[in-house]
Amino acid sequence: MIGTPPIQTSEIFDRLSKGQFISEDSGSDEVKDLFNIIELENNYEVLRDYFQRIGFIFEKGTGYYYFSRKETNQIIEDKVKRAYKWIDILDFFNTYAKAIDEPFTQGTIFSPSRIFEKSKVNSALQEKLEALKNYQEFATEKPLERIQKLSRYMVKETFFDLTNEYSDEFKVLASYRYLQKLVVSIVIEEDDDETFE
Amino acid sequence: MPTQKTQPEKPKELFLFQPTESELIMFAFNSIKDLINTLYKEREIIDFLFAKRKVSVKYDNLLEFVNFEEEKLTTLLEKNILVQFGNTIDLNQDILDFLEKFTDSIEEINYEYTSGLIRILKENIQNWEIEKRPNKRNEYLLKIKRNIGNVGKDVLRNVTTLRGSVEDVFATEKDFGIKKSKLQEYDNKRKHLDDLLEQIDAFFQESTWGYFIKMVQDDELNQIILRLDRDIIIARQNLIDITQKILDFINRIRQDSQIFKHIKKVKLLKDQLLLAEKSNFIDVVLKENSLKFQNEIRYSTPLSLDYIQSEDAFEILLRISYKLKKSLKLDEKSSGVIRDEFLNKKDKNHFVVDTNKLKESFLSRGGDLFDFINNYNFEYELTFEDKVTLYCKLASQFRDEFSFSDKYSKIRNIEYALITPKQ
Repeated sequence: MIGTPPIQTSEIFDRLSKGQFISEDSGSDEVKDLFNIIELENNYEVLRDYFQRIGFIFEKGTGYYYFSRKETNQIIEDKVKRAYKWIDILDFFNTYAKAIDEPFTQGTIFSPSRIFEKSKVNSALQEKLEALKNYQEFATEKPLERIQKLSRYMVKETFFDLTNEYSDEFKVLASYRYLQKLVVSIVIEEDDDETFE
Repeated sequence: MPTQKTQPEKPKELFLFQPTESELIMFAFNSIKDLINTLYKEREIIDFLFAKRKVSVKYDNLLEFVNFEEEKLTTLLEKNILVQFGNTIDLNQDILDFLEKFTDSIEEINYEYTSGLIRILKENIQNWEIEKRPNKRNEYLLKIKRNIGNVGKDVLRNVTTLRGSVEDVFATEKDFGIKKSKLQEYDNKRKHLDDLLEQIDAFFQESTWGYFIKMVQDDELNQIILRLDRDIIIARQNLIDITQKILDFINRIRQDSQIFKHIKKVKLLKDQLLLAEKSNFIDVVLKENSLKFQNEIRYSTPLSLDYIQSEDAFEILLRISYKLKKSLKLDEKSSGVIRDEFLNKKDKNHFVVDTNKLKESFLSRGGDLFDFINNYNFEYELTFEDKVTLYCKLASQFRDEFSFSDKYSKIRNIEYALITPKQ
């Protein structure tokens, strides 16, 4: 190992080991600082070696960092369930994007009330919103509250930032690309008629 | 762009318009006031020529504009505010530059600009070749120098503005739709600039141009071309950067729409319960070991014995022990069932006399207090002892409102003081 890990190593570990992401565009100065420290000189390589020795793989995406672990005894059914949830969430926000004819990706700013308004006039969105009820985390009879719960859940999972508490505005962070990449990495068997370009 | 500022612009203008002898004599203003007055007086003409600065204005046309007051034009020509080349007439380059700089009017580079420039250049070269009189030839040469000299300046100004606009939109425009359309508009402008640079390049490659350069053998023209070459290089470098930025954005949109389509397909298969069967989903999930797919990691480490024995730990231990005590729960046994005999099943009513009400009614009725109580019709039967107690209670509670006499009365075997309402 060349060089010693930075003094913020413990803070970096604390966040990453909780399953959080460190994104370049996080609104939190603390997270942004950590991101810059990781990017500084050869800190990433040093940290990667260091964390590897204690059983963590320090993964790097475009504009975000996170942890993974090899050889876990996580049961496959549980992982499938989690993947299903991410697919549903991504699909929900995608449907919203389609409804307003704008992409929903890193840098997008939205508010739950705007999604709710759109869902009133867009049956596809409404349908997907209704289906989210099946998740315990977002289970509530009120649709607007459900979107709020979902958005706050995404903040907790460090994929969104709550940028304006007063107007209830959220920002999609770089780490959201991790989820997109995950779903894109699922290769679908080509049907004869259409191909994915 | 610092290079634009550092380029020696001033000498060029002086050189370009080296005044002829006659011009030198005629260039005469007594004061700045005089100059400004003249400019103001002839503002219509100046405005007309400034608006048409990129096309050649014929002397006759201008004459028409001033209602054939020829002396007006003659004076302006004498004072060197207007310059005449053969049959065309223009504003003095210095005044033109001043106005352009001051009003920040940037010549928008578009299709007309480019085609116009090339056409005028070709025209002038042709005229230069045909013309035999040296004076006239020189006029055409001057025009060519002037046309080419302006191009670099125009291009760089346009590039600077474009760059600023693109960066501005990237940084500040939040609305996606507006951002997209603005960037498309800027992309068009960029194409126009690219087109102009291409055409200039192509024009310089043409044999007519090569021949002209060889025939003219003019140092000043060579310098102007060199400067233009340098400006074009700077502009090209900037344009590449701008293009990259715009392309990045457009690519991102395309990529996003691909991601969008894919997610939709995956979701569809998932809902049809075909995802595992029709894709490598299980494989992907198996390989994905990010902590998002794992249970939260919890650490429980035993306390260090050395630490517990240290001074630092003492306070912490005290705090912990305090917390433990506070949250201590006594293990209480539940008591047995209460037997029926302990429960008095009868209703228990406790009759309480409202002393206040009693006093009020006594005060209004008057007489002797004990007598009053003794004969009062209570809701509940009172014993004699109760009545005596009530008498004492009222006497002590409201003694300020009663007057106590020295006389005593006797009822049964009790002697009592006569109490009446205070007068």
